[in-house]
Amino acid sequence: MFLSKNKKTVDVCLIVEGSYPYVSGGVASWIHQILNNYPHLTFDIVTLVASDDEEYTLKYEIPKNVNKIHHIYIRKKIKRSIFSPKKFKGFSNIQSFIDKFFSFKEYEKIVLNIQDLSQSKRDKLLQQALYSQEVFDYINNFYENSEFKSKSYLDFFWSLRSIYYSFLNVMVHKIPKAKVYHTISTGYAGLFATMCKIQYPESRLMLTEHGIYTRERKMDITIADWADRNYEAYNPKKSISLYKDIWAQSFKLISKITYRYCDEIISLNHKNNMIQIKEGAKKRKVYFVRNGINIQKFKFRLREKIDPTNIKIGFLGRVVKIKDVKTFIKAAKIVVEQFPSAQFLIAGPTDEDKKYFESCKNLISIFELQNNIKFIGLVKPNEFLEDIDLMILTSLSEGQPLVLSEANASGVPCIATDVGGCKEMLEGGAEDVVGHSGIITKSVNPKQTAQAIIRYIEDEEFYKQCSQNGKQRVDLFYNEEDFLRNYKEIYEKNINLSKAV
Amino acid sequence: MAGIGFELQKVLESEKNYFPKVGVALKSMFITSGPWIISIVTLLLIKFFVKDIIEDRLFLDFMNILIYCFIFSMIISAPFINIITRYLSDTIYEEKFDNIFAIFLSGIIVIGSISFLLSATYISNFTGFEQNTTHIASLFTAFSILWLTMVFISTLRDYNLVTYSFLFGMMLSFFLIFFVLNNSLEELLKGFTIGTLSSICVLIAKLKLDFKSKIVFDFNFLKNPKYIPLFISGFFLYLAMWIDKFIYWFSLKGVELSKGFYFFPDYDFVVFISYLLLIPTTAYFTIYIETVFYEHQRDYFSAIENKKNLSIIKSYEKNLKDAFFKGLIRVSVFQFILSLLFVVSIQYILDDTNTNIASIPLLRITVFAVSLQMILNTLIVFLYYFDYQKEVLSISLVFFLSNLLITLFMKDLPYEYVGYSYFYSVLFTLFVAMLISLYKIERINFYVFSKNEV
Repeated sequence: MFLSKNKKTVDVCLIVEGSYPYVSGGVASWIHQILNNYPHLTFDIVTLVASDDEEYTLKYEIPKNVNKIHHIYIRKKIKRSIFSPKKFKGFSNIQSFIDKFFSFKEYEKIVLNIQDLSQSKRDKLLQQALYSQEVFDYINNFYENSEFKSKSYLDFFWSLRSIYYSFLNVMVHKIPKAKVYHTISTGYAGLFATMCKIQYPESRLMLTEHGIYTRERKMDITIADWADRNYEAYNPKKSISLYKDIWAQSFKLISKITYRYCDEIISLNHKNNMIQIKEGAKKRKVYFVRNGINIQKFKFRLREKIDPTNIKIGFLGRVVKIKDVKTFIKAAKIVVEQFPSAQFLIAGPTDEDKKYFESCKNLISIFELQNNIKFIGLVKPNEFLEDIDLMILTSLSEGQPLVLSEANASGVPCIATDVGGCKEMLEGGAEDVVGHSGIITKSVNPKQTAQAIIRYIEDEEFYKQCSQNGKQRVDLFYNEEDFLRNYKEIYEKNINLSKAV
Repeated sequence: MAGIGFELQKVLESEKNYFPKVGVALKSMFITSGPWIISIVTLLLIKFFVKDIIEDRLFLDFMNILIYCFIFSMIISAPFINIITRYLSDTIYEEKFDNIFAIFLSGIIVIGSISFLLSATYISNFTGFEQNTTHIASLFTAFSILWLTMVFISTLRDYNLVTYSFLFGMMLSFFLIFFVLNNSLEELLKGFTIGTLSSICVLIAKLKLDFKSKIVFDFNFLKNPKYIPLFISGFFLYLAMWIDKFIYWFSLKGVELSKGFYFFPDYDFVVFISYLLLIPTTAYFTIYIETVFYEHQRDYFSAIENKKNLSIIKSYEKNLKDAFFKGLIRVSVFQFILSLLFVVSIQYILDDTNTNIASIPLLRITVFAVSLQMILNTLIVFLYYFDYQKEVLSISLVFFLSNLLITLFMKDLPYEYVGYSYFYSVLFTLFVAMLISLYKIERINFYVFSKNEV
C-alpha cells in the first residue's frame, strides 16, 4: 500500500472510480498522462474500488509527484455485530437521520456530522444503517408510501439497502486535504468529491466527465440484462426493471448534487455539455476540453483506395460486451459474402470477459468465418494502424475514444457507432468544419456497418477524402499539446483561486 | 427432518380406514423416537421374559450398561448430529442428492469412532467390565450410529420399512437372548448389539439403494465455521437435560451399582418413566411442524423469492406466526393432558405394586418438569426452523448453567426436594426461551431480510 510522503496540503486530489491505478483503459491512461505531464504539481489519489476482499494489482507505475493513494471500498464487508446498535447520536434519532439521508435534505449537515464522528462511531453508524430495526421499519414505510408498493418487495429492499450501504461506505471515509479536488466522474466518486467541498469549502472542485455517468450506468444495466436475453431486443432507451430503475434514479440524484457543488464542469465534447446542462449543471460552469494524442507516434499515410482483393479491416479494443464485437462479426459476415478474401482483425485483450470472448468465437464458427476473422491480441496501436484500411468501432457506449483519433492520425478512415463523442470526432461540430473523416452508424446495426465498409471500398474518392480530413482534424483539434496546455491552465487557475492551505 | 411429516401424514391418511389407530400412532412414534422405543421395549421384554432365567446381578449390570449407553450416546452424538442435519438440509436444498449417502457414511465414521474410543477408554479404565470392553463399546457405538441413522431416515420414502426394521431388530435381540445365547453378560450384550445393528443395516441398505453416491465420503460438515453454534448448542442442550442427574449420582444420594456405574435409582427410574411421556408428543409435534408449519413457512419464503409485494408477504408472515402459536399451544395442551392423566393414574397403578411410595411426589414434579421440557424442545425446534442458531445456543447455555447451579445448590437438601432443581431450571429456561422466541417470531420479516450480511 502506498504511504504518505508528507503531510503538506497537496495541489490536486484526483478522485477516481473503478479505474486508475488498478484498471487499465481510456480514463486510467488519461489520468496517467496528467500525472506524468505535470511534475511540478503534487497529487493525492482517492481511488474507489469494489470490495476489500479482492486483490488489486497496480497497472501503472505511480509517478513521483503522487503523495498518497487513498482507498475507498464501495462494497466493504460489514460484519453484523451480536448487539445491533439502537440509536445514532449524531441526529435526534435514526429516523431523522435516514429521512434526511434518503432525501438528501440537510446533506451538508449529514456530511459534517459523519466527518465529526470517531472511527468507532462511524463503524456503529454502518452497523445501524444495515442491521437495525429502525432502518428496516423505515424502508417498509418508504415502500408502502411509494409507487413501488405493488412491486417486488425483495428487489426493492435489496436495491435500497445496497444503494445506501454503498453510499454510506463512501461517506464514512475520511477526507484528505487538497487545494483542488478533481473528480473524474459523478457517481460514487462525485459523492465523495462533494463531501470534500463541504468539508473544505475554501478548496476548488472540478469535474471531468469522460462519458455521462448516469447514462453509462443505465446502459451497463440494460446491457447486462439484454446480453443475457435477446440480442436483437437491445434498446438503450427502453425503460429498465424496478430495482435497476431505483439505482438509475439514485445515480441521477448524485449527479445533480455533484454538479451543484462543482466549481467547474468539464466534458470532452459539446454534445456531452448539453446533456450535463439538461441533467442539472449550471451553464456558466460547463465547458469542454478535448482529449489529445501524441501525433508524432503515428505515421501518417494517405489512403487512396482499398484493394478489393486485399481488404484489411481493424477493430482495436477490449473484447467485452460494451464494445459489441458481435456486431463487428455480423457486419463481417455481410461483407465477406461480397468480398470473400476480406480480412477482419480484432486487436485487444480477450481475458476480461472470457464468456463473451467464447461466445464471439462461437459466432465466428457458426458463420464459418475462421479464415476471415482473427483475434490477434494486444498490439502496438501505431503498428497495427499502419497495416489496415479501415478502423471500426461498434461500441454501445463511449466517451471520446482515442482510437478514432489515432486511426485518423495514421490516415485510416473510420466507421463508428453514434455514441459519446464519436460523431463529433468523425463529422465535426460547430467550430470543426474539416468534413467527414469517417462514417457514423446506428448501434447494433451490422447491416449499416457493412454498408459503410462497402461504401469505402467502392467510393475511392470518399475514402481518400476521409483519410485526408482525419489527419487534418487530429492536428487541429485532438493533439496532446493542446490538451496538456489546457489542463495546465485549468489546474493553475484553480490552485490560485483555492484558499486552502 | 426434511420431508418426514408429509410422508407421515400420507402413512396416516392411507391407513386410517383399515389400520387400527393404535398401530398408526405406534408407527409415527417409531419414526420419531425409534431408539427410545427400542431400548425401553427390549428392556421390558428382557425384564418380563428373560429375567427369570438370568441372575438378578447380571440383569442389573446389563440394565446399567444399557442406560449409560443410551444417555451418553445421545450427549456425544447430539453435537455432530446437529451439524450433520444442517449440512444435510443444505445439501438437499442445493439438490446435491448424490452426496447424501457420502455424508451419512462420513457421519458414521466420525460419530462411530469418537463413540467407540470414548466408551472403550471409560469401560477399560474406570469400570469392572474391562473384559467386555469391545462388546460394550460396540453397543454404545451402535446406539450413537442409530441416533444418526434416524436423521437420514427422514430422507427415505419408506416408513413401513423403518418400522419393520426396528421390529425386526428387537425381535432378533430378544430371540438371540432368549433362545440362542448363553446366560452371560457378554452374550446379552452381543444379542442386543446384533439386534440394533441389524436394524441399522437394513436402513443403511435402503439408504444405499435410494441414494446412489458418486463420492464415497463428504466430511465438509466439519469444515464450516457457521455450524459451530449448532455444535455447541447440541452438546449443551443434551448435557443440560442430564446434568442434574449426574450431580445426584455423585452426591450423597447416589450409589455406585457396579464399578464405574453411578446411579440415583429412585430419581433415574422416574426420569426414565417421565421421558416416555415425551414420545407421543414428539411424534405429534413432528407431524405438525413438518406438515402444517412447514407449509406455511414454505409459502412465506416462496412469496419472498417469487418477488411478491410486502402486503402479500405480510399475510404469509401472519399465517406463519399463527402456525407457530397454534403449534405451541397444541403441544402444551397435549403434553399437559398426558402428564395429568399419567400423574393421576400412576398413584393407583403404583398402589398395587411394591414400588417405593416416596417416589410419587418425585414422579409428579419430574413429569411436570419433563412436560415443560417438551415445550422448551418445541420452541428450540421452531427457532432452528428459522435458523436462529445463536439464540438456541444461548438457550442451551442458560439451561445447562441453570440446571448445574441450581442442582449444586440443592443437591444436599432433603429427599423431597429432589427433582426441583430440574423443574426450576426448565421453568427458568422456558421463560427465557419464550421471551426470545416471542421477540424473534414477532420480527420474522426483519430478521429474514436483515440477517444477511452485505
